[in-house]
Amino acid sequence: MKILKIYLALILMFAFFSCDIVEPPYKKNSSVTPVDTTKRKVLVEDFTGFRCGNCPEASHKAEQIAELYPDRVILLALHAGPLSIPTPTRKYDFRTPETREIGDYYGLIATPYGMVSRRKFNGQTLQAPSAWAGFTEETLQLEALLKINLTGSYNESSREITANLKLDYIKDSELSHYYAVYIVEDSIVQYQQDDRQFPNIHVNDYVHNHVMRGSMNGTWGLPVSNSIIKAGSSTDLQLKYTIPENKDWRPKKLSLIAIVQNNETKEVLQVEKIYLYK
Amino acid sequence: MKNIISLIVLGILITSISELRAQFDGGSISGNVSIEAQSYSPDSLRGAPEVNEKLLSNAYLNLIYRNQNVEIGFRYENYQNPILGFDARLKGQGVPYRYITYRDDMFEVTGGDFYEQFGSGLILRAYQEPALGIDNAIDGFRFKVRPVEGIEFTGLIGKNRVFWSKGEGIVRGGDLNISLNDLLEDYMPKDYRFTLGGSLVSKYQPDRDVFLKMPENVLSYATRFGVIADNFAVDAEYVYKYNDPNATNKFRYNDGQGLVFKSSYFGDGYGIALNAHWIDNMDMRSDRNARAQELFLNFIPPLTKQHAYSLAALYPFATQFNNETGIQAEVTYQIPRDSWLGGHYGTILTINYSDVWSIDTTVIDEFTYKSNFLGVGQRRYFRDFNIDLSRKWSSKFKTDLTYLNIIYDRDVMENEGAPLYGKVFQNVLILDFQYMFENDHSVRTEFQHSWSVQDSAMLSPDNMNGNWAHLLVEYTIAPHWYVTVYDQYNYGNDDIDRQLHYINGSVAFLTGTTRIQLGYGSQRGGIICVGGICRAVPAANGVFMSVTSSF
Repeated sequence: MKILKIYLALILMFAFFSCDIVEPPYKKNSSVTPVDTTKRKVLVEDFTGFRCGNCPEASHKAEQIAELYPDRVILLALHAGPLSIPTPTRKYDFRTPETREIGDYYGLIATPYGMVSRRKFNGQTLQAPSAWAGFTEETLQLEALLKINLTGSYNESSREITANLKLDYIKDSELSHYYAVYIVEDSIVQYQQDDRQFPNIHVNDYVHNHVMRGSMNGTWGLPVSNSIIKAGSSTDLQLKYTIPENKDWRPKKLSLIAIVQNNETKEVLQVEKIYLYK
Repeated sequence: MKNIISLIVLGILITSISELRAQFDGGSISGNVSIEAQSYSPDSLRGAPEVNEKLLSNAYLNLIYRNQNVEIGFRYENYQNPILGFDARLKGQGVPYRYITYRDDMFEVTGGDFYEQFGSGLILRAYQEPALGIDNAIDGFRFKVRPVEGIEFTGLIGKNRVFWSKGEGIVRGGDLNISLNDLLEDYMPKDYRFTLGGSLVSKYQPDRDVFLKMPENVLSYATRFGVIADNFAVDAEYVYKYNDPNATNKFRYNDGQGLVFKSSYFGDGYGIALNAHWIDNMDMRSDRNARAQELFLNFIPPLTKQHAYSLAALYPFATQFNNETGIQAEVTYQIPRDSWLGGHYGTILTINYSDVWSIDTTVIDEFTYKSNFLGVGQRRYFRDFNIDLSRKWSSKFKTDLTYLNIIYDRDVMENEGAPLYGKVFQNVLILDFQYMFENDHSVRTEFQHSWSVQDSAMLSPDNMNGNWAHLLVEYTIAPHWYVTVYDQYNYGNDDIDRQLHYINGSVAFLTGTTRIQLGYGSQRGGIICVGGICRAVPAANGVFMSVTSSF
């Protein structure tokens, strides 16, 4: 019986010390965070689908994060997964070979999921929307290895996009560094299931933003250099891409997102974004 | 094809090895192995996707070494790549499960990975369900103490498995189980066995949320009792959880609670079982951001019958961990032998009814709601009324007649409650005949028919609506060979192009504890559930193989 009393005392102690009760207000005083330009910018990728009713809420979460860290967080919506597949009645296909390849690579089976600079947290790269903000804040604290200076232009007659990148290395580069430039479109008005609008969840004029349309140089990009770029040095890169005739992209709504990633871990080391038309 | 042959050869090798149950002076080795493989040919009408690998497989090998008081075990797993319908993040191979245990009469300690269940699982259940790809084993430290007869205390600490890594949350738990008859032998009636139990589980996860305040330590407790007598058994468990905003409850700060009640009574030739539960906000995960089948910390025992017949399982119920109440009643009656209804060899009648509803809640604001304890809400999730009549007509011939009437809220089960599909009303009739020949040969046939209507217009064609017919023939040469052929025909699909046959054939060979099955055909897509936990399975066309063995 003495042993039993000891156990019960242990249990009560355990109960006493292992519970936090949160009182309202539940919201934290989140305010716009000052910019520290010596740190990395963060790419928040949002796997989404037009038949995914929870995805608009996730996109909203991503927008909130971007607003909290102005010019430090760049959003990219990747349409992939089962709920992005067109149906006989909803035929518009947002998917691209790149979004499907990225989804397959990370084992995407459902949406919404997302990635924060394609980093692993607790062994997982795909993260629920509720986890994005915390991991974004953590990633924003990491020292930048390089800075991307990105400029772009569009030739209306030839439908050609030109991207110029100047990579200023703050630390030595590695041969595993790859760069890719993605083409992104905003303000696409198309159908979306939006469970927030219950019971009118079928929204025909939903505005899709940050939609990945394609890549100028492949899903994972190309090597930055065949040799190490020393800290304090730069390299200049240029890409050209002609928009195919069958694409309905609107150049005035297009932007370019340039990433430099470690092609072994796929971690995005730096990211930059510009609009083709200001 | 080369891959398939390799897998078959591997299966035969394992069959041979499994005969070698090692017994030697230094202890004993036991274990089991399972290999499943499926080849895929795309079929857009049946919904079978194109698979780049052409062949996918899941396999695992458990090996346990025991020597006196010590047990060491591990499991090697191989998903290259996972069969469709399993989470693709399982991709890979390795040894995610290993442990060492010491046990004697009073004490047991485990370091490494372990499975555990407190009470009915309402507060903690770490388990593996290979059919669903669920494995939330805890990697940590566990001890069990039995200081006196009738008392067992379990304490544990660790992290749950998630695919090939561990969840961020640290799980701490304690459970006390008391058998009053053993503890107070002189004071308790001999015809009844009384048990009492209590559990505490707490999880810790740092608060890194930018927008909301998160409780880093979340505590839950449960208490339970049970009585077992010769002709009846009753047990009940109550669980309470303090504020646990998480992705499954859309970050509500409400406390959670649940009550589970189970009872059964056995009379002469009949049995009655009555189960009920009421569950509010009890989806517990060891990571507040976990969803789908990631990092479960507990389990709600299902209230509905799990049907084995294919068309009876078209619309299976998935337990709603955050909002559900219901009852289940079952009566089994053995009609007396040699009566007009019972026949010479006996007839068993089983009537089962389950009805599951939402609980009564009112939204207060975006973070909280009001919930009336034991209150029933307005939305019916599921109802299943089924009758089964099983009769043996002679020493060679027996039949089974089953009728089901099901109401299935497809939006709740498949779309988190948002209106998309509406409710499904289904009736199923099944006739199962089995005839045994003299020479250990037997034949079994299933005639199944499902009538179903959906109360909403189909927004887009799918392969899961309308009437179905199913015919199955299984020929057995006991004890080794089973040959099965079936055809499922969705002749009532709303979309004429999808009124398709799903024809499938397989051969299974059994010897000792080894079973090898090889088949070919089309399998419909759908949902499979085990214990109220479900996963979606895409349609598949191709060859499938399964090898299981224990040693």
